[in-house]
Amino acid sequence: MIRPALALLLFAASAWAQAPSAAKSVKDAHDLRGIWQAKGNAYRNLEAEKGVIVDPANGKIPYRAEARSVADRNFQARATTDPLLVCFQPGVPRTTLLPEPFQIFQHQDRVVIVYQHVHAYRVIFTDGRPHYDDGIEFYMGDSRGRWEGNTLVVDATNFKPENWLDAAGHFHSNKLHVVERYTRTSSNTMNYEATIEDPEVFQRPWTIRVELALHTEPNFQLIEHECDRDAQGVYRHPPQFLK
Amino acid sequence: MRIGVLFLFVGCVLPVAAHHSFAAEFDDKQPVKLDGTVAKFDFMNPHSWIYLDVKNPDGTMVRWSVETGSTNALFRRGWRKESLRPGDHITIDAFRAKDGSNTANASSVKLPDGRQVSAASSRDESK
Amino acid sequence: MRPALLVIAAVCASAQSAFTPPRLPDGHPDFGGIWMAATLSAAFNVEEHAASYGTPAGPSVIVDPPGGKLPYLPGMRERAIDNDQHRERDPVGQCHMHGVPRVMFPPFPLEILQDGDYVVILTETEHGVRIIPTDGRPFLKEYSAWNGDSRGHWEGDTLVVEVRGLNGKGWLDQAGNFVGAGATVVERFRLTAKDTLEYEAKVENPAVFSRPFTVRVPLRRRPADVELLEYGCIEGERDAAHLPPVNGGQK
Repeated sequence: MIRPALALLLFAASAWAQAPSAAKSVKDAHDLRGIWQAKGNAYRNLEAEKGVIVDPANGKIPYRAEARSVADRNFQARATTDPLLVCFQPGVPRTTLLPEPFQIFQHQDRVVIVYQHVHAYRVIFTDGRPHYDDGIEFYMGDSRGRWEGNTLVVDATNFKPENWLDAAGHFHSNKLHVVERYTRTSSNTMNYEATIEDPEVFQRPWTIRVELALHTEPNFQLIEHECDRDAQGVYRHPPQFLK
Repeated sequence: MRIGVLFLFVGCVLPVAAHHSFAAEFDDKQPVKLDGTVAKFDFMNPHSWIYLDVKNPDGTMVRWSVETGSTNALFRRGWRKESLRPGDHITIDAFRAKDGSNTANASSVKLPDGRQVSAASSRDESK
Repeated sequence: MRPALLVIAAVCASAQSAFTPPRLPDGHPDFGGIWMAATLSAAFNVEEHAASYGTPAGPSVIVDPPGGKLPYLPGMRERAIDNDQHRERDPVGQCHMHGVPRVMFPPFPLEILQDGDYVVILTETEHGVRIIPTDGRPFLKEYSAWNGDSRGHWEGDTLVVEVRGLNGKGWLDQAGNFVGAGATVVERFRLTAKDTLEYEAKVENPAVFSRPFTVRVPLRRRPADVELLEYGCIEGERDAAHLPPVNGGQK
């Protein structure tokens, strides 16, 4: 299938992550374009990976009491119940944190992010149009952005409840509201912050921070990551989500 | 009290098609009219699903799974995730699945207030 | 007869070149916006067909060869007919991306965005994506993907896109027509009016067809208030349980 190309790109990605890059100053701070990828391993466990949660200061997710036990149950069952295993688009901010690249495109009234992982994409309108009403929910949410100085602030709502925030089973409801902040800090680095709010699951909003790095390998491109069958070739069909 | 639910009955101008062929799964020679109570309405892709409890003539209840169009097609026709709620009494005109299960593909739905609305099903394209 | 023909030809030629497209700062025509196939029936069958349950009637969208029929090699049309009788095998029914050119004419909108050296096509169906570099970079080697690998370049105001690396598992339409492994496609995009993007795809596969064929499906701009909606598919797929078992050929 696509294994040779995939192996090549994963190798290139790991080499890229380790090589020091000469950071150049940002020519246009409002230009976020390029192929980016998160550094580090936040995707595994937002709480256990050091330094990912910057607020609260103790680095603990401020779950409501009953929600913490749900997260614990998710963790125990993660090998079989992680929505990613059955090809769910990973939502926000999980898709940004995955060890897979994503590409940012910009147009006058929107920013488009295409993620390599299951070719998920988000269209982030920056022309001030309002969110959809609450009558529809999306796995990747509904995103509206605006600039605050050199930071693109994205407000995401209208999430479906079935997704997780990482591979450890940290989760949310359909009341999830994420505010992301993208700030280009050099020609090949970007600061990414996400404030996560969900009154049904968390006692208060909390914030994660991860650095993104630009892919500068010649002719680097996203490759198709179609998720449809597991390693045994069995068609993926999420019966455990059908109640 | 449902606020802002607006149903538009429109013809074949808007896109409706299924993500798969209607004929592969459903039998247009087996129309069914399902009169019952909504147990659950899953507003989702690639098809939304209405789970309907229907009373048989002998008094027993049977749960039907009725497929409608995509959220994209339904949303553009005014449907929302709360358009059908558990307990709503509705009537669905549908076509039964070829495998004989209590599964069907809806062509139109009669709402509690009497309005008849398109279910944006894959069958609509033949019009 | 001849003078009249010359007049008609002159009128047609001038009508063709009359439309001046809006341009981006780099001088290329602006294809940006939300589009959808004008001939929705093509998604069901690219050849001329009558209506049947679940399928609207439609003309052939094959403009070459004349006659509008797919130029299958002996034995290949039988495979398409077999697909038609087993529509549960349609990969789109299992939430796969549509492949090229099928992805360009489903009855759902798609969005085209141009950004520097990229033309991006976002399709509502299967939240599909095609990223088309126009910077002259080489194709990927040994690549096999549902939507293939695309490289674009401009010929005047026409965007020409070559597609390689198609995995050949995708169907060409819902009726089971197919292009097969090893197919290559050359697409041409051209604005012929403010709200009409002419789309042509020339498909070549000497293992399946006796000669290349070309489909043409104009895309019409959707009203200004239309936005792409998310189309998660595999997350909510519940039909497979009621379909006959799909044969092993989908792997």
